[in-house]
Amino acid sequence: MQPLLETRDLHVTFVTDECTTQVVRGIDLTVGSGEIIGLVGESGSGKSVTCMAAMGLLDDNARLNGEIRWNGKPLDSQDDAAMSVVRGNALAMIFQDPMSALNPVQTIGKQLCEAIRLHSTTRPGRKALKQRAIDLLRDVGVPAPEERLKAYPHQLSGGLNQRMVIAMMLAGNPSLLIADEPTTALDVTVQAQIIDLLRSLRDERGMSIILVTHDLGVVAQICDRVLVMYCGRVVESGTATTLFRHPRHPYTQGLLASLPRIDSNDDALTPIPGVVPQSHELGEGCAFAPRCSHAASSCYSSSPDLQSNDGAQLFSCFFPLPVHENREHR
Amino acid sequence: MMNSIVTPEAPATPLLRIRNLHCAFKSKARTVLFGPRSLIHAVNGVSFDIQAGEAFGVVGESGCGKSTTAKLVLNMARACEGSVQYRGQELTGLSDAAWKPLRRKLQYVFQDPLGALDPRMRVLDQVIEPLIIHQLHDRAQRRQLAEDLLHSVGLQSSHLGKYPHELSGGQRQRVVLARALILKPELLICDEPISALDVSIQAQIVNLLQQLRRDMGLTLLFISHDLSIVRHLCDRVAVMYLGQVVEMGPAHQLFSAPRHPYTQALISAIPKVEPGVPRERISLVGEPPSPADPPHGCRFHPRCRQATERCRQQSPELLSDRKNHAVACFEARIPLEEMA
Repeated sequence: MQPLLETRDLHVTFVTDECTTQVVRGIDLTVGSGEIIGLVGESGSGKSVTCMAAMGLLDDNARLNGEIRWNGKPLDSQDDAAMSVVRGNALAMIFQDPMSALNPVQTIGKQLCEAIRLHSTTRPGRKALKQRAIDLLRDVGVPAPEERLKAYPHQLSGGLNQRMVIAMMLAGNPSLLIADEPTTALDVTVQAQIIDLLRSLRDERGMSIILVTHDLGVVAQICDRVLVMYCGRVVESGTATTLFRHPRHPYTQGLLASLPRIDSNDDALTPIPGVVPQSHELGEGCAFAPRCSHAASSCYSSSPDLQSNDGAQLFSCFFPLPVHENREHR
Repeated sequence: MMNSIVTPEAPATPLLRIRNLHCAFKSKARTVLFGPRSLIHAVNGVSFDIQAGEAFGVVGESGCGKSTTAKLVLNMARACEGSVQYRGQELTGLSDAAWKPLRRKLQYVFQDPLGALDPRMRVLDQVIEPLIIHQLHDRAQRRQLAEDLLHSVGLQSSHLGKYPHELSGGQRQRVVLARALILKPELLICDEPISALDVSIQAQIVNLLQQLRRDMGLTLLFISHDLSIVRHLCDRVAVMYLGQVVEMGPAHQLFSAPRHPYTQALISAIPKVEPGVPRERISLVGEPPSPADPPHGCRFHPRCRQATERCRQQSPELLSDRKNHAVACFEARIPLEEMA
């Protein structure tokens, strides 16, 4: 099966007058049709930048290397004319804060109709536009959609606004949605509703989703496959089930161990010591080595490549955790 | 040294006693041009006790009044009604001058450490400053105390001369904690202290809080929307909804056998880090109503699947059982033998 989106050895470097900062350091990402992929990592791991690169939303000071392919064809994401055809119609992106994605001085209805008009080949009349807008709001589970069309974003809650953004995104009927921390700003009950909505988009429309998040619980609930990122690289990838049950990379295991569990009574959490290094501090070796309890001298001199034992679960570590050991850890 | 504000009390007196606390803000929005502004009841009759040495958690969705409650305790917002007692001393209505010695005993840590720190002051100076304000110790002692404390919250000597922007989020929160702890407070109020931090760093701060509790005998009022952290850190928990406490009890009991339908829904909404296990979710319909216009009767009834006619008419009281597990719900089944 042809993958929908593919990146090969993607590098992103930001160039400023003072310095150049390499934020993404070789990402291979493949998204199949109808797949939900989780991109996990702490802030600064390059997960958002990877997505922005695919969407062609990076600033002019970003230098892209590597290849991005859409439906098998190369995609020049820095070519604005080419991207405007793809963006919204094939690829769409939603962000953490719905309020900043919406125009505060226009009604929801006006913004939604604008999105529909931009994405339709014919020129729909006012009535048809309004009807389509109401249909879209109903699709994303907004109660009383006719009245909501007249509302301004500030009159609605964060959860409703996120639904509005999702409705707008659906106007272009994209085949891949990139959702960057879509539930981080929301309360836990509303978060659960939005996660259900995203899952139904996949189940009913066959939409592929890349979910960028730092919340491992959200990932476990919805994602088929997970990529764990650290300092601009993928350190481990695999199906959600294997990754959470049998993490092979110490960073993945560290992330899991630092979570308090609602169903356990453990007294102390096991945090990962230290902090994420800045990109200028990265040397030749494994970026995680300074925080890793398994690190040996070889970890500081060269960086491990992604490897696999079974072809499904990939990890970049010279001393991967044995499969059986970490079963008890969680 | 200040005069001691601690009056000898029977051990039964809680460190903090909050009774029937109310707070309302005037909304900016008017229903009619030049018409009256609507009142937003952020906190509506909250009562609880915190015993010395305890970690007390307050959870709830945004807008439920949990932060306002904390601010009322510290007089950072004015209560309309009700009483806050610290070791038996009434705090509401105290003058600023009378508050000053109390501020040594009650300290506050906010969510955003960068916003709480002075961007133009070095870390060490920020931690020394409270000692200067309260005129404690001499210069050399202050410096020594601050250095010791910064080390005990896990900062290195190399961090002490740095400015806040040079530190990471977790390190900044450690500085904020050190600054709050330098006065040796008895009660530390933490308002979402780890929400702005990365997962691996969150665990570091949570462990630090636990260690400080043990070492310094600190009492914690811990406000968070993250139920799993509260479950982990707190002895007792209050669940708030639209300005009211709907359930309160020992953490292990409240989380293992929640009685209020809202608590049940909150707990079931937490995504479990367990892929492939379908969770039984009690979905809540809609979102919390506006506190400017709370529903009649039980405030939760429009979203409650067990709501009856009685819930629409009357507001349930917070009733406690023998194990001090209290719930405000007509439908909550408290086993008869456990009734207080």
